[in-house]
Amino acid sequence: QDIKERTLKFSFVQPQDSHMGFGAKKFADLVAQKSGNKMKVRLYPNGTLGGDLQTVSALQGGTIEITTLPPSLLVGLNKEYGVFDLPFLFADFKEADAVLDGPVGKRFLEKAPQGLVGLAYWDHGFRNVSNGRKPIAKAEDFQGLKLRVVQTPLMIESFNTLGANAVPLPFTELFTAMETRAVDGQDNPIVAFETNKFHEVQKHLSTTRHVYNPLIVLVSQKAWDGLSADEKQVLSSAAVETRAEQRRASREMEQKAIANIRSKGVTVTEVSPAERARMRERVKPVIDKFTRELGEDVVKPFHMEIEKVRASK
Amino acid sequence: MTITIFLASLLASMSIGMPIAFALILSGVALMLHLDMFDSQIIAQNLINGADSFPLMAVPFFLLAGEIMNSGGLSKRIVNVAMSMVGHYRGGLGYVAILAGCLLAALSGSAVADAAALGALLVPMMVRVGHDKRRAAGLVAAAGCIGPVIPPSIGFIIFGVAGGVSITKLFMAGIVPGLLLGAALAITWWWVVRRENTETPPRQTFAERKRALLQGFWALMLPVIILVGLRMGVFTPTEAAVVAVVYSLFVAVVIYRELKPSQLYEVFLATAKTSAVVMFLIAAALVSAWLITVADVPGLIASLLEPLMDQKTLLMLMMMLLVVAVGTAMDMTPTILILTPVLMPIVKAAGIDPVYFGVLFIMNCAIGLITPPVGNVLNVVAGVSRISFEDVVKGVWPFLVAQLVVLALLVLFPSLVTVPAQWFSR
Amino acid sequence: MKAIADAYFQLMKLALVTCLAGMVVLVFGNVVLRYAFNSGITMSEEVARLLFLYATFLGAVVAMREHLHIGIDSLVKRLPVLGKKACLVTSHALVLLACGLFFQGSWAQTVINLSVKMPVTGISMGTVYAAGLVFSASAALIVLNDLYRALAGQLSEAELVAVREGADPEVIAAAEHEPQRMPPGAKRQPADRAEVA
Ligand code: NA
Ligand code: NA
Repeated sequence: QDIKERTLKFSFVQPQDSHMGFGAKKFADLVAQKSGNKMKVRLYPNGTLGGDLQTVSALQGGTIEITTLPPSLLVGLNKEYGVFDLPFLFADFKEADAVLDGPVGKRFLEKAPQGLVGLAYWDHGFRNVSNGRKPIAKAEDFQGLKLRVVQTPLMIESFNTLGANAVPLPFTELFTAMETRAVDGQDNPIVAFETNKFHEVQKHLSTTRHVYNPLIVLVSQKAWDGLSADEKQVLSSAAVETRAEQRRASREMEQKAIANIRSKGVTVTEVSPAERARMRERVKPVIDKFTRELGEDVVKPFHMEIEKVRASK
Repeated sequence: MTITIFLASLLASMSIGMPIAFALILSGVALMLHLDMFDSQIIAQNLINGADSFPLMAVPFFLLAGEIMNSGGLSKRIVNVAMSMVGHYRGGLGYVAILAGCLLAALSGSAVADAAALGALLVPMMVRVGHDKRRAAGLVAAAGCIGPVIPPSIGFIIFGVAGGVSITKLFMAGIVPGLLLGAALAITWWWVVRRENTETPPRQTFAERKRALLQGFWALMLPVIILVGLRMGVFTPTEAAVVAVVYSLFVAVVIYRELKPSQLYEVFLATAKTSAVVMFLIAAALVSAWLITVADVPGLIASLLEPLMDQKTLLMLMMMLLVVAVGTAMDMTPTILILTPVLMPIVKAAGIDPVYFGVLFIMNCAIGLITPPVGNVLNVVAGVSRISFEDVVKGVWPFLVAQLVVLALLVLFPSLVTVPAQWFSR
Repeated sequence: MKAIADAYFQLMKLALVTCLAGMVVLVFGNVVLRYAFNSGITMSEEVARLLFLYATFLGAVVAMREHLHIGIDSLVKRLPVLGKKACLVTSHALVLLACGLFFQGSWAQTVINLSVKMPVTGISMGTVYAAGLVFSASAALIVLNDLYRALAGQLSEAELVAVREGADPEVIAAAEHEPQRMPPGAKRQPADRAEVA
């Protein structure tokens, strides 16, 4: 085997004990094992080497080798990645996993933006809305809530259409803004809700599951080009082999997080599938508008794959 | 080894008179060579991403508010309020300096600005009534150091961003320790002047006091707006800073009419320059901080301190002594930027409350502004009081000792910080 | 030549003031809109941050020219003229090197990010990294000019110490003339301008 001694930097924004840290650790162990301890992956959690987009730019420049983040954050580099943010695209994990691991997901890995190599999809989780004022059980409950959402036109229009007031605010200000009630709430996966201690400042969490965020594992093209075929094989097989366990761990963490935040006094409201369908119906004009903007040829393959999964259930 | 290379290259470039910001970039270059990962993009990414931050926008905003308050007559009226209240006691002007120091601290984010305003206004008056010039200058310098401890505080903002600690919580936790510093100064001043024979200004009549209060009312409303706004959740720290700008601008231009619109260009320009110097330093510190993180130096130091991890008080004491030592030679911003990434992992690993640590850390850095050989507040007070640096140092020591005693008390009794912090936060 | 440089820096100062004023308007505007109308300027954060970035780097250039960056002069101050000169030349040469590296790195990142768009405004992320190009090129010219003047013997002994720790005579003069009031603008504390605590 053509494998040299190397150290690769793996940077991510969540803590080491998060689902991201679990995946990174598993990946590092597998790389060490497959390369006979020659290739070392060093982990830099908590964004100590930079935020998401800064890290992507560092990967492109070759100063950091590996990262993982939700693919929708790549929308500035290639607008087609905005498809991952379409509300209510996936109904459950099974659909998401099948589509991402199938030909459609593979196509998005292969056309990763310039300077980046995509290896696999891990799990970040469904996004859920929390707020400090009232439980959200049905579509009407969004009315009048001041919510901080991701700063993209798609997310802002979606929440405004649901009746909320989407307020622009950087993530770094979010905790303080909720603590001081400058905004009522936010939307993020439950594990992120827990690790950022949002339960200290939020009373209600509702399982709106309006957007599914996978994680895409990315390697710097510059670093990749310097690797032998064997070394590339070590990295890509480790990322793919990590996938199943990372997803299982991440989804277990979500369940534990729900129990934990409940014990801390957060009311967790289940949103029924019927209500979720009503919410989807309300934002349909927004979905249609952005589907046109993204291009039917980008979105349609997703729907076709999802239909296949639904048919086989 | 990494730490040695970092410190050696930093100190060497600083000692030949290179600006600290560039010295930090060069020590980053030395670290890249040492770690065998030389790439100029690492410099560019950290410098630029370091300045591309929303929370740090509070730095230029609080600086701008301070600049407007000093040139728009707000600071002057605050000193007048303090004068009307405590000026007539024995050594009254000293208490005026301390009270005005606390009030200005609640308006401004910077010790240097507070000390400059107090020094220019009060030291000549104190000398006129017969106080020892060195003592007067020393007291004013020490009173200026309350500035960064009582919110708003640029020190807390920089630490909060660098260490990932809630800036609002730091602000709320700083109030009582800041007042304790003021109380310690008052006791020390009482002891220092108990045998001095000085004139005291006459006790002001009720009408005079009312006039001073009425005139100062608009200026005094600013800390109320900031604190209540933060506490009640009207705005976040960055927004509080911009509200302070707009409010002080309104008071200075429309109510006091001391700041002419034609002066605004100069006020904005002066602030923009100060802010750029601070921000460029912050950004430059990130270059070497990034490389220190890559080399896992914090982890190394944390493992060295492992045996102390369950003795929180001893650990705090050691860290505070380190900050005092660094503070003698370096000013606040670089101290925060260089030590936060090294100390925060230890603080977290030992289970010390990050807000408690932050308050003591910033208080310690503030005290460092009046410890020789390098102390910016000493320089400023020497400048505005027209006495030598050495004389200010001679005058400041009793107050310096008093502030260090407060710091030591807070190390021994953390609840002095944490209990009042809880009152203000919930 | 000097006229061109002066005009360039006047323009830079105007841009600086505009950036700072723009930040105040955008961030304050958002607070007002959130309270009065339950809404906000979506692009406010992105634009305000870009203005802040340029305010920082343009301001750092102006501060270079006016020697406002903080450093420690206690050692250099005590050296004889020749020693001061040697330190100044060495430190300027090293600053020049830092500027060169900053330029090179910013160039690479600007090229990489040219086609990357900010999520809301769609402004190219290349403009972010281009701030480094503006700074390092301008700063390098300032340092080259200072270096030339030092080598040609055009600097006084006081000018051979290019950083400052504290107050300068201007402040003392200002405080003396007007002890009741801090003068605004140019006469304000240089130390205040140079260090915040
Ligand atoms: Na303050
Ligand atoms: Na000092």
